[in-house]
Amino acid sequence: MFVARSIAADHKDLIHDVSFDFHGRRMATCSSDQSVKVWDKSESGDWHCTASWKVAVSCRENLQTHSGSVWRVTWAHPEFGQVLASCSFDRTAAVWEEIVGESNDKLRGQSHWVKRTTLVDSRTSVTDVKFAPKHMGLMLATCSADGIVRIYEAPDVMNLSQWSLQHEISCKLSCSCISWNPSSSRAHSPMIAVGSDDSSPNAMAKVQIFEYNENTRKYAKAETLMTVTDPVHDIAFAPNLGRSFHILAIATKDVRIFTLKPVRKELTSSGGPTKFEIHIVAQFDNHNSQVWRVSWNITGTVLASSGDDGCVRLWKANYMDNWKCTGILKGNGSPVNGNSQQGNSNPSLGPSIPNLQNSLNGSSSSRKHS
Amino acid sequence: MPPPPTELPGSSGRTGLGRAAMEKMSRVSTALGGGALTGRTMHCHLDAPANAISVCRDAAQVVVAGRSIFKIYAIEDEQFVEKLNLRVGRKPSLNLSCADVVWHQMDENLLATAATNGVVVTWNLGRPSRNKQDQLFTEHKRTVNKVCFHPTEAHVLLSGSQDGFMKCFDLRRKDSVSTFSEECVQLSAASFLCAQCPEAPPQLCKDQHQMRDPGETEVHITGSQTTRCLASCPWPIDHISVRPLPTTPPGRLRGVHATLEASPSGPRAGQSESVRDVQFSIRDYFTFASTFENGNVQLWDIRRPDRCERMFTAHNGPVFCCDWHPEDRGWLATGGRDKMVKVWDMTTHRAKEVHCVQTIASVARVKWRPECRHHLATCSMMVDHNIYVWDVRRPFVPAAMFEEHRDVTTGIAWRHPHDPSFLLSGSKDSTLCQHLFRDASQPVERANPEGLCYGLFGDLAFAAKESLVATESGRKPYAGDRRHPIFFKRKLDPSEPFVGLASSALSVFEIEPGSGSMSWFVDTAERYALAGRPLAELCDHNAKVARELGRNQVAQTWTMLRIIYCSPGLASATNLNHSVGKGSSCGLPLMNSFNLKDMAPGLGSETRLDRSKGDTRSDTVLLDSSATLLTNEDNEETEGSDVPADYLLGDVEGEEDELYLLEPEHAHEQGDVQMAVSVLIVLGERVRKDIDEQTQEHWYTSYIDLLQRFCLWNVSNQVVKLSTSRAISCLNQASTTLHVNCSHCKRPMSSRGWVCDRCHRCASMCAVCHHVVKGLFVWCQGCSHGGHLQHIMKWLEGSSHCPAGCGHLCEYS
Repeated sequence: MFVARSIAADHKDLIHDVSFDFHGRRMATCSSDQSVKVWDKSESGDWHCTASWKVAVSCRENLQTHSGSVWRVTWAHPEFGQVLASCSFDRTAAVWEEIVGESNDKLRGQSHWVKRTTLVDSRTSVTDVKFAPKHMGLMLATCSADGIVRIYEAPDVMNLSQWSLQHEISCKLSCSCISWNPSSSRAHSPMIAVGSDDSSPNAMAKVQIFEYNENTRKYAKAETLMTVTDPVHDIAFAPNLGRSFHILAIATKDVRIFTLKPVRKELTSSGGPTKFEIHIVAQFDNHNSQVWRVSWNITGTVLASSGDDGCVRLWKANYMDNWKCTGILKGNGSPVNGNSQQGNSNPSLGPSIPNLQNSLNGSSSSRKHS
Repeated sequence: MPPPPTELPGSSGRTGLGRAAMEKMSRVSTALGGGALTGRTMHCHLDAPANAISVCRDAAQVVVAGRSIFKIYAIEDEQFVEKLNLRVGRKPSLNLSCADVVWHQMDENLLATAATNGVVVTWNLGRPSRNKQDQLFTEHKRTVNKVCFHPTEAHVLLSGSQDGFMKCFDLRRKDSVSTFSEECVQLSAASFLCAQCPEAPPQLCKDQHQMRDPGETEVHITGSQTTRCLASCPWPIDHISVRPLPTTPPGRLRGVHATLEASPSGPRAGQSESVRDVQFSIRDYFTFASTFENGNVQLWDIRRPDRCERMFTAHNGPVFCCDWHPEDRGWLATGGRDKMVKVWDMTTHRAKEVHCVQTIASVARVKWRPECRHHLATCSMMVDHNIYVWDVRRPFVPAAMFEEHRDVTTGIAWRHPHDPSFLLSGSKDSTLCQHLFRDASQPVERANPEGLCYGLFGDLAFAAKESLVATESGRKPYAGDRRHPIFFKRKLDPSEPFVGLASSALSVFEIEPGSGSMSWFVDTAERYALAGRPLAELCDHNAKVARELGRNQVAQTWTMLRIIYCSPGLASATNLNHSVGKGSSCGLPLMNSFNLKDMAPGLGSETRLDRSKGDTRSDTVLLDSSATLLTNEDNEETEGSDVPADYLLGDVEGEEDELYLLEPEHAHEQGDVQMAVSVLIVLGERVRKDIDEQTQEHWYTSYIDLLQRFCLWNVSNQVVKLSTSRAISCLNQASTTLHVNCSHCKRPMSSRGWVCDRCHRCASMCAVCHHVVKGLFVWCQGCSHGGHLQHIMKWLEGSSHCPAGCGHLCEYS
């Protein structure tokens, strides 16, 4: 059961993104008020804002954040330090690093973040930014409203101020979201899914999947999800814990879950892009409206989605691969219906576990008797 | 529509003439609001880049001026039609190279242009000849940035130039009536009080008469880097404030660096700041505002060219533009290179910043939107080609955006002073556009109103636009929420539809301990035994761990593994798969049935009971229909009983399936990668060759990544160590070199032992037990003495002095 903990975020405008770090102990939020905030979880479980930066507050050049709405914020793997990337309406993406040892900041319980780089290649609003999975090194992908996905790499992971633009992938459609395939398997080439919120009347497929080709050293389009023709607001690959196939969640006018099974290499001609068997395994319009965000739990077994109805819905598959709603959470923490409240109304759950053990043992012994 | 008779205190001194003129002007503009405008979003190609545009008062014609273009276009419903080319004559004159153009709002035939060579030209369209040029004023020395007609007086023209002068022309005369310059305001006194050089005598400014406004408490001048304090202190003056003397205690003046009393020395002739914009007030007949490159804004009375009425620093860097609010409110919007648009209330004694809009590029033009009290349009002179319309109450997100131009937009004008839907613009890309407000893209609408992120422990962070959350939960208000004040605030202004000062509610949904958080993962990882004991024991141990954590399916699996691999008959590796396959076909149904039987009472809750019944059914069907069984639905892992699903949710782990059922496809379907890797390690050679090397590696990397997320470094290292995959086991082999210096001679220890080659003493001795420390060595950074972690900890309980006896008060963090 969930307990809602309301946080006075004190952003002056809409919050567009929240993001947990690798260890789940820090959280970053970004807002249209052009600021980014970092929250740390205290021992007691409270979230404290330990850093907040914004152009109007500080005139110091290195602290200048964006001068437009900040759409997305994302954490790098902690191996590279405490690093955040953000992207903004002001056509830039930025990389931030926390500096340790600033004593007078520490005293106030504040940490100090500096801007390491500004990526200014886009000529339009940068709508999403994502760090690549760790095994690929320190890489960053951005996508922008002009339909270009850019992939940057920091050749020297110790120097966060140098990023080189490695790839520019043209998607032809205004991009709204990207997701790296997190699989660390050598059998899976680096892969990026791109969603578009292009609302132009000519209905085109709004989700494209690009795969890195070792031979050409370029990203090439591997798949287009032809069935998704409505604007896509968010896209997320599920964490791949040893699975041979990929699961992709899409937030469009409904929640959709696709599986992408790579067709065995032997069957495809070598060198070309991987072929996938694509199945839609779930499609839910329970939000009754636009779905804005999708997010997977750490094991890739539960999908959370949020929509215009102000609710978060949790989706989970059973062993038959039937996806069903397993919980609804209201934005203010109040449960929508009895289902998600079961845990609360049933305090006997805790003690019931030993019972389970006992009966299990008893039963198995009875089986032996029989 | 008569003008609101609200005369605010600051303007009460205006003459009756001014008020009459205002009324007259008001009538004029009302008269213009005849039929509704029609048209569409359209553009036309110009021959050359435009620098400025201006609309005729009939809202049917627009003039476009640029370095090599000066034309009048008629705005028709479907297109722009070129009406008149004012660039006549064979050789192009520099007088025609226009930086700005303005069309008189009372006289349809009267235009004025500002030329880049400093000439101000007026044009009379009523002239019969082809050349419509009327008058030529060559008084400015450099580019004239701006020309402005008086809103009600037909003959008064104002210009502002790069040379720092503003000139007022009476079109009935050949030369300017008066000249205004920023210099006039500079104090001539040469006495300073600089906060940085206290030895300077606290001489105070004697030029009391320079304080124009007795009510003015502070005037800011931004000096250049070369202006220095006269008291020979090295600090450049970047900010000067002039204060009325008798009331200001001297002590306060010393507070801030470079807050000075008085002024730069004397008038700096020819160096005055360039004028970027001049605008007659619509409210006060005699008043105009001017903006400067140094960030200042001045307010002048046209009858008093000797000094300005008021001056304040509005922006950091040049102020490129300003615009008076069209309604009678004394609001002035200014835009600067610092990317900001500020709205000032000029009716109070000190200009008060009422709004500040942060744009994404320097602001070149700002124009209030007609009939929309809080809207203004801006465009930039660099980088950004779009035109934005902002609601000043929502300063971060533009309300509308026009993206037609491919190069910098240089001029914007609302087509009619009472129509908010038509905007005209000219651009360096040589196009003239008419934008319809309804065709604008609205970034606010496209902006994502929600943020959602799944945490490591199953907690969810959710930020949502408050209105989304509020609409349905209005019945249940709860304390400490800012939503309701905002909700009410919105209702205060019903006259104007306003989407609301949007804000988001942020909350974290935390999973209650024990109900499906990821703690099972941590516990399992820490308690599993993976090596060092016989297989049977490992399986038993792990089965016990799993059972204690309530993960019965997993426990079953371990038990099964023990049965399969530790039974003597099945040990042979060659026919392993085969025999396992057989084993499963006889063993599993039994197992499955007892499993399901026991599950229901164990979970206790009614829903569970029902669910399990259903499940039994479905599993029975499965049993009958095929031999492929999935024994390992792992329902402890689901969110305990808060999961309302009417089935047993499965995190089907992989590998055992492969072993039992010989169906690799099922193996990795839903990864309990922990199980897969643990089994892989425990079974070792027995299964390794049946699984693809790459797949194994994939499992390992996934599991290690997960362990590291939970900071289970020791487990992670154990897994790395026990893995047989080369790619994995090398993970903890990288950068493992440790360089040690001798604690006595401070030189690097070259040999491998514990004795330093150079001083032949044992390095890193424990100060407590006097033995060589071979494991964890802690030392005080102050005196560099230390020793075994345990010993030092024990020692410090009793004493805070160094155990080595050096007398240092050791500090350990």
